[in-house]
Parts: sequence; C-alpha cells; structure tokens
Amino acid sequence: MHHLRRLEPTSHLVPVASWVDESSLPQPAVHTAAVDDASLDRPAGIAAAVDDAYGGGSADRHSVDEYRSQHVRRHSTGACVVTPLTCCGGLVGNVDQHVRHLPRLAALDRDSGRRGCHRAAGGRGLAPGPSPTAVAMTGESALHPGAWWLWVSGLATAASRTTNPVLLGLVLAVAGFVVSARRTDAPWARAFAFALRLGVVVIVLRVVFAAIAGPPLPGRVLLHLPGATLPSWAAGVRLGGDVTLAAVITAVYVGLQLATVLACVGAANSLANPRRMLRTVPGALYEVGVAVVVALSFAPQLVEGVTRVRAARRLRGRPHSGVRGLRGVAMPVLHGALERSVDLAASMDSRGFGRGSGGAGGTSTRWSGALTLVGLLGVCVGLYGVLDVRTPPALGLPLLAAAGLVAGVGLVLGGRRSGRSRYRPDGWGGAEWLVAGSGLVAAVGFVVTGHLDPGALAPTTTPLDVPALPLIPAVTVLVALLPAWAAPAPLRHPVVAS
Amino acid sequence: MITFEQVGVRYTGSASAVLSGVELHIPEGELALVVGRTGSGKSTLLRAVNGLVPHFTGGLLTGRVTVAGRDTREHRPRDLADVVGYVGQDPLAGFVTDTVEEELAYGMESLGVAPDVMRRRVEETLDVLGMADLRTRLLATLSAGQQQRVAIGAVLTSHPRVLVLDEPTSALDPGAAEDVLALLQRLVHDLGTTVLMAEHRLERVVQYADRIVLVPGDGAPVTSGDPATMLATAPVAPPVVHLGRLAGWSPLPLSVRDARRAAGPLTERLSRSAPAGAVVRPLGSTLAAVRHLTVQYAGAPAPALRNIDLVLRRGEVVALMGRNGAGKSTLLSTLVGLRRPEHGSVSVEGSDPVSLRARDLVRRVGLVPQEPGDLLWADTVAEECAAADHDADVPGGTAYAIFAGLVHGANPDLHPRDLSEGQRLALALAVVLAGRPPLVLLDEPTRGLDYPGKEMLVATLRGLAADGHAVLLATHDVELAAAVTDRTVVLADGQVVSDGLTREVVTASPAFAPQVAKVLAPLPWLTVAEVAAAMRTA
Repeated sequence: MHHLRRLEPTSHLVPVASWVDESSLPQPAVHTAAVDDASLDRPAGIAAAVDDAYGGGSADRHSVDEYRSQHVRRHSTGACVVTPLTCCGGLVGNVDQHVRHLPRLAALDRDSGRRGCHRAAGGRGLAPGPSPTAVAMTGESALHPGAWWLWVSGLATAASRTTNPVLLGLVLAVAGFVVSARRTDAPWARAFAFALRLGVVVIVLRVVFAAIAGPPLPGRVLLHLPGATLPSWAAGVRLGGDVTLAAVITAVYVGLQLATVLACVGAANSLANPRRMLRTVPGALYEVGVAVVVALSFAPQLVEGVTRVRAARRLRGRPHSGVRGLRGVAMPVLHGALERSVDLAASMDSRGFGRGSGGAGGTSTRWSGALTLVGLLGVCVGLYGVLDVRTPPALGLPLLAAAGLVAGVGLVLGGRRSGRSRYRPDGWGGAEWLVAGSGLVAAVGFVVTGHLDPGALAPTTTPLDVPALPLIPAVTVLVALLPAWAAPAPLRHPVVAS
Repeated sequence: MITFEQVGVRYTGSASAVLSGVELHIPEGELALVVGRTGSGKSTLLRAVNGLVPHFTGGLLTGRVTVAGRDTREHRPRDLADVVGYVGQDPLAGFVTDTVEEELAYGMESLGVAPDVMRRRVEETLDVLGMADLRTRLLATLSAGQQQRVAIGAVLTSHPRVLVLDEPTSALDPGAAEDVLALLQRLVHDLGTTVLMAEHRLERVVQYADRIVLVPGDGAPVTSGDPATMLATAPVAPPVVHLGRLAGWSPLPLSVRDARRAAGPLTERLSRSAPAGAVVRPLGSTLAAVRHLTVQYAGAPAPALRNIDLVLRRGEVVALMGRNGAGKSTLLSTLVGLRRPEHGSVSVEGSDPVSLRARDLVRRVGLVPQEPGDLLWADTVAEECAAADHDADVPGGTAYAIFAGLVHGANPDLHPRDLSEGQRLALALAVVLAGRPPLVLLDEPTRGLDYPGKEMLVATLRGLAADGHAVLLATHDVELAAAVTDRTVVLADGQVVSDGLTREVVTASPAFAPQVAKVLAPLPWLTVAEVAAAMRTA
C-alpha cells in the first residue's frame, strides 16, 4: 500500500475530499458558507448552506454515496490513479453545496466532475462504458489501400482509352456510386467532390482554348470570333476565327476524358487513406515514405501558420495581404515551419528512427539501391509502352515484367537490412482480390474493345455522330461496381456532440 | 540510473558555457524535478540525458553522461531509444504519424519489436493512458491534455527505463495536468520508471518529486537533493513553500495537505482580519461590450461560443478561465475583430472591431497571442520597437521605453528569438502597448514563464489597470489569476458558466483555487502577498 499512502497528499483536491468526508459533513458545509459570507456578504448563503448541512439536502447525500463508492472501488482494485476518482466525489460534493449560490458555476463543475469520473473509469477499466465525448473519428475502411488504388487504376486506364462520352459518363457514375457507398468520414474523403469540380474547370478550359486556338474543323459554325493573321513561322497556329460545333464537341469529349481520370484519382483518395498507402511501401523505400508523410503533415501546418501570422499582422496594424504583406507573412511562417521540423527530427531521432539501417553503407546497400532505381525506371517506361498504342510491343508488357522483377529484387535486398518491424500491416484477402480484379476487368474490357472496334471508343465528330454504347466496355465497367458490395463497409463512428 | 560526471556544455558560436561541472546522480525509480529560471540550461540538461546534446544540437560536451550504463558519447539518441524516452515541450510537433494507435507503435517499429509484442504493448499502453476509446482518433483532433498523454505513451511502448519530460504540463488546464501527473506518478510507483522532468509550474508538481535538481544558470553549480531542503533556499518555489517560509513552518510543507496540517495557528490569526485586496475598487465606465455572441467554426459540430454576454470596464483586470478548447481564444480573437460573429455584437469603445482598419484597431484594442513570437518579425529588438512606433503612429522610442521598463538591462541589438520567454513576452507586450489601446487582451501569457517573469507581468498588468486600461487575460494559471485579477469569467463549452469576483469564483471551485486559498480555506485569502501584508500590519 506504499503507493496509496504516498499518493493521498498529492491531489490538490484533497482538502475538498475532506470536506465531503461523511464524518465531517456538517462542518465543511459551514466552511463553505463562511467563504461565501466573507466574500459575497450574502447572509442568505449561510442560511442555505446550514440548511444543506443539517437539513440534509438530498444532493449532498447522493454525493457522499458517490464518493464512498468511488473510495471503496479505489481500495478494492488497488488502483493508483486517485485524482480523478477523488475529483469525482469531491467536486460533486462540494459543488452541490453551492448550487443555490452559484448555479451556473455548479453546472460547470458537476459537468467536469462527471467527466473526470468517466475518464477515470475508462482509464482504469473499472466501469467500461461509452465515452460521452466522442468527436469526429477517422473512419477507416478496412480494405487494403492498395486494392483501392488498383481498382482506380483499372477505371483510369479504361477512361484513358475512350473519348466516348456515354462510356466516360458510365465510368464516372460507377466511381461515384462506389465512393458514396464506401467512403469514410475522414477529411481526405472529400477528395472526390473536389476532383469533380476540378474536372468541370478542365472541360471549360478545354472548350475555351479549342474555340480560341484549336485546329479548325469543318461543320456548322456556332459563332465567329475576330481572328488574327499570324506570321509565316507560326503557320498551323490559329487565333480566333470560326468556332464550329465539331470543334466544341471534340473539346468536350477530350476534356471529359481528362476529367474522368482526375475523378478516378479523387475516388482513390476518398476511399483509401493516403498515409496508409504510404505505410505499405516496402522497407527499402521506408525513408522516402517517411519524407512524404512528413511533407503531408506539413501542408496543413503551413496553412495554420499563415493564418496565425496574418492575424498577428492585423494585430500590429500592418497590411496582411498584397505583395508587401506577403514577405512579412512568409518569413515568420518559414521560421515556424523550420522550428517544427527540427522538433520533429529530434523526436524521430529520440525514438529510434534510422537505428537499424545506420552504418550499413556497404556494397549491398549500393547494389540494392541501384537495382531498385533501374527497376523503377524500367517500370515507368514499360507502363508508357503498355498505355501508348503506338510504341513498339517490346517496350510494353515484357519490359514492364522484367523491370518489375529487377525492382522487386532491389526492394527485397534493401528491405532485408532495415531492422524495422511493422505494426498491424494491412492484410490482402478475398475482398482485396475482388476489388482489384473488378477494376482490372474494366481495363481489359476497354483495351480489348480498343483493338477490336476502335470506332466504338472514339466517336467521330466530323461528321457529327451520336455516340454508340458498345456492349463489352459497358458490361465490364459495370463489373467495377462490385466493390460497392464486396468491400467491407467503413467503420463510421457516430459523431456525438460533446 | 542517470549519472553526470563533470559535464559541461558549450554551444557552437556561444561565448559562455550553458552548463559546467555538473555532478549528478539519479538513482533508479526516482522522480526528479529540474527547476531553474528560463534560459538557465534546464532543457540542455534534459537533452543531454538521451544524447540529443550534443549529437543532434551540435556543440561541445565535456565530461561523461551515462544512462543505464551506456555512455552518450558512444551512443546516439536513436541507440538510446530503448532506454530513454524523451518527450519534448510541444507534443504536437513531435508526432510522426497521425492516429493515436500508429503513434504509439512508431517507436517500437523503429526498434524492430516483434508484431505480436507490439500489438500487446499498444493495448496495455492504451489502458495505462486511459485512451482505449480514442485509439483511431486523429492526433490533431485531440485536446492538449490528451496529446500530452499520447506523447508520453508513445515513448512508453518502447519500455524505457528512464523518462525525460520537458515542461509536460505547461500548456494544460489544471484538470488535464492532473491526469498527466497521475500517469507519471503511476509509472514511477508501478513500473519503477525513473522520471526526470523540468517544469515551471512548481505548484503542480513539487509534491510528486523525490528529488529536486536546481539549475541556477549563469555558471553557478547544479545542485540536487531532497525537495524540502532544496526549496528552503531555492530562488523559485511554489506559493505553498513561500507561505511556509513566511510562517516559519518546519519542515517546509510541499503539498497543500502538509501545509493545512501546519496552518492551524496561522488560520486562527488571519481569521481576525480580512485580506486587503477584498475591498472592491470602484470601476470605470464600460469599455467593451459583447452581446448575445455566437461564433461557429466552419465544419464544427457545435458553436465555439454560444450566446455570450460580457462587459469590460476601464480599470479592471479580468481572468478568462476554462478547459482547453472551452472557447477562450475564440472570444479573444472575436474581441479583436479577427473573427466575425454569427450572431450578436461586439463593440469596443462604441465601434465594431471587425469593421475597423488595422491602423485604427491598434489604438483601440491590443492582443498578445498565445505565441508572442507571432507578433515579432524584425531582426533586432530595436527595429521591432521602431516598427511598432511607426505602426501605432506614436513618437519614436515609445515602445522601447515600455520594453526597457519591463526588462532590466535589455539589449536592443538582440534578435527577438534569442530573448528568454519572459523577455519575448515583454517585447510583444511593449509592441502592443505602444498604441496605448484601452483594451488589452492576453492569451495564456504564463506559458513557459518563470516566477520572476510572472512577477514582472503581474506588476505590468496592475499598472495598466491603474491607468484606466481594461485587461482580459485568458489563462490556466490560477495563481496568476488570484494575484492580479479582480474578476473571473469561466467558460465551458462556449458558454459563460460563472462570472464574478475572482475571490468568490476561485474559492468556490477546487479546480481553480490557488494554493494559498486551499491551505487557508475557508478563509478567503488568495496569495502569499496578501498574507504577508496582513502579518506586517498585525
């Protein structure tokens, strides 16, 4: 019981606890009345408190019981964290005596007392119960973030293969449906809506540029813009002139394609936590991953810093906008960001960052680094080969496979030397295969159609034609709806107002 | 467990050594408290324990520091991560990941702890912290007290035998500070962890300490020993110790409980008189008024402030208290026009601060923000003061005269970032006061401020009130509120729950009562100064 004895005097609330000790109950009530009397000069206060003490206000009895029960619990469990428990009994007891004099304060203290009680109960596991102070949680979809990215890559590949607005609309609808069914409440879940808005801007820009400086297309003229005759070295570039319906429609198609790809990326960010995706990077790339994570957390801090410094400038009566304001804001914000990064580095160093890999600057490190770099470069070229129809076939899948292998060997070699372990890595199971597979099906459907029937994916605008709805891509893109049911529902925590 | 042998530290480019000839031995399982004025080298001492000094900070360390038998000369901080857990001043700045659970696991991942062990330790630590239901929360959405506990938990999972904490409760409200200290207490008693902690708020922590390490600064030797012995002569001490010295109690009480047991004769003597400050001074005319104010942040589930009514009069100093996140800072920024209210009105000298041009604003209301450094961006103190004079359109030298009045022996050529915490606050205050705004607002001015710094602040605020300024002070520091304010407003959940004389409000609530009030309860004395004055006259 050594610790109990030592702990008792430590609480700043001990005198309060002694006020509600049942043996001294009448006396403390008079105490508090005396305080009121001296400071408030309110004789009614004494009467009320004495009444409480001797007439036995029911609130007091309740609080003593509460105190006693906490007290007993404390001893029976041998718990060491006394303060909140004492606080619970003590605060409620003391404050109830003040209810009549300071009703508003009493409300606060009773509130904080109860909170202390909940906190203590949760902390000690004495009385498990729901916390009343739940605020917005980070709902995490239980699916591996990589599965979502593969699914999205499938959709994006499909979108990049067609300018058919019907198919693009279908891809958008599928992505939107799955996002609305499986997105979380986290801040980044708003990325899809943002991507959609960005897409609208892209389409508008595309149409405006096509109208002003696009290649001339025959067909119905919508309006005539004043044109400029350019010198001979700029032949082929048009400025102004006739704006035809075909030119506008073509611009809309191409813009819609880009917007759809953007929306797919937005969908990925809505569905998968970008940081969790970074956590899945191989051990050899760990340092790079950390750098990106730190950069991600710095962006919001910079925004906060700018807000703070702009506020401070206003407080000093300085301009806080415009070019003159900018320099005054930028310097303190950068100062602050630098200080924070030094703090972060100190924290990471103290917690063992880079402990395993330090000192292993030998040949194996160099080899794994070189293999990874060459491999990843190869993967980039290979991906380009796969996506671009005009490149020689050898630059496509074969290169991609070979480069992937090289990069894999490099990553495994590099990962072996890192002494790190991973906490609760995301698993890859049936749902992940289904989600990733359904995206792949959509991509394959479009790629195959692109070879069999290129016209179906790229409707002609000269002459203007109503876009068709080819069967294979339409069916395969509908397969990509599967994650709306196949993926586990995100854990949405109720947002309870505290 | 921790041994310093003839340790000296000198930073690169600095003329004098921060520490020299430090001899210190802290046995296993002790809670040692490092005390000293700001800038005396407390943080340097703490950082030397896990090797951040000199491996991370640079500079030259002479002598030898060993922790659990490991010499910091041969071990970098990362090599000591399994023995020493270091928690810096700002927990948010030290977070590497973004959720509670991942943050707890981060250190273990770096150490390569096996996955099943990691899982178990995270669960255990969540229980120790009392945060099992917050495991998936984003760190940025936690309250300051919760963040501090996560920061401690994040180093605990590596099972360090030594825990080093730099000002763990400075930014916390009294309740949250109690939670953190209860956690530390539990570690020391249940797990035998050695804790080395620096803290300015001695009134909160001194009763927990087994040992006090005094870092006097200015090259004087670092001494350590039993708390009561050390505090009898230490330049910094909590109010309860000052009261004990005044009343001549022996042994010197360190906790309110010990003091109460010794206070019988003093209580009896004081019960015959009333504190001098209890006479309420007549107040001036209304300076600022807030009516039915409601402020809602975009995306927040509940308004930050709800239907607030508040009147500030000339010549009064008002404390604004409440939990972290109760809406104190929001109220201040609304009063200064940084935030437009959803409902209700704010008027300062009859005009709405939102509509004022920045130039006119500085002559009506001044705010010293939580981080006074935000206001300072010139390269030297002199430039800063000159800029303030220019902004406020007052004769040159006004701001510097105020600054020199607050800080003795000030050097105008220093960079504001090289000033001590108290000096920086004084400079920010001087900059704000240059325009002589009738309404002065301060947000958490005592964060990181030592006792002499606080005394300077108390004297300054009293002077302002005497000159007819109104001062509104958002603070967690009950001792400061007791010492300087006439009136206290308590906010909770964005509402005013209490508004009355400080003496009345703080003695009614144990969470806000200063130590002297607790010792002398039920008598309404709040500060050692009041007691001293009464004893002189009696």
